[in-house]
Amino acid sequence: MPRYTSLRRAIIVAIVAWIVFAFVLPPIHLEGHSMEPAYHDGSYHFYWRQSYLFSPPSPGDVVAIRFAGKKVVLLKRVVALAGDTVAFENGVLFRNGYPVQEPYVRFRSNWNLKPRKVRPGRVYVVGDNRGVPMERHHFGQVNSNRILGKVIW
Amino acid sequence: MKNTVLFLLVCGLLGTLAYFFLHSSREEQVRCQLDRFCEYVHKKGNEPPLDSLSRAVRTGKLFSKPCQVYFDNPRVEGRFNRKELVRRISLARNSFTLLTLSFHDISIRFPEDNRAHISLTMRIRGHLRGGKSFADVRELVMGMEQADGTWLISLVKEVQVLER
Repeated sequence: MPRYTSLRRAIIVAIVAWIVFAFVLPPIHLEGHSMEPAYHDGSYHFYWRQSYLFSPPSPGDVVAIRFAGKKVVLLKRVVALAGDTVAFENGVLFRNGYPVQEPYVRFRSNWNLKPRKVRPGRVYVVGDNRGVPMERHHFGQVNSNRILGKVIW
Repeated sequence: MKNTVLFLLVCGLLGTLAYFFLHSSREEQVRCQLDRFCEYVHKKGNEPPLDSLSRAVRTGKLFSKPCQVYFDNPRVEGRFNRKELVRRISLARNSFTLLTLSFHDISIRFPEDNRAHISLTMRIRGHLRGGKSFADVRELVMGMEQADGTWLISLVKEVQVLER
């Protein structure tokens, strides 16, 4: 009888773990240096799937962005919302014409990008590691429906 | 009467089974071609020149004549014949000492019997000749056409996820 109880508990734990890690708090294994120094290559994190059910992303949030599916995701920081204007001048981010304080950015290089407006239904995302040439860094505006959740740990 | 109903039921069952068998076998064939592409592009360590050439030739045979290619970065756009595609893929492979290509989240539709529409995430990892590590992820839409029983890649198009 106790054997069956243990088995039942193990099954329940497995089911709960599957629900939590598949639908609520999926884990991510980070590969790449685009979010350094806050997020390191090879580190593990979790994102909260329900973060944006009732409210849109805010500037400063680190979000998981999907590609064709959910197996490979991109980790980026939201820097501007729909309707905002974004630009880079000598590595400094400008939102709506004003420079943005970004304490999470340690590595900067001479990025220059002309002002552009974030279209409706989109947010503007950039990685924290601005030390690489702009051409080699994936950033830009992304459709909000590609955002899977907020990275919470 | 009973026999007729039974006969119709058996026919229906066989038809359903045949549909699923054919459908899955088509999908398997397409997946198999994608696996082959990854296998041929893969590179580990010092590759003998003859091996590189053989892989290039086999890679070329996976594409239709011509194949449409659209990439944003680097900007590549147009219809390419096998020779040109092989030349470009070989050039790209030569800039790496180690190279791994993998496809994830593959979804396949068949709008027509001999045409497949594929959506997937492509992941490239490796080491460049200079010693630097390289990693890139792209979302792609691919088209495949069946010619003489073989599925050939007829379209490769990058989906723009992030727009500057």
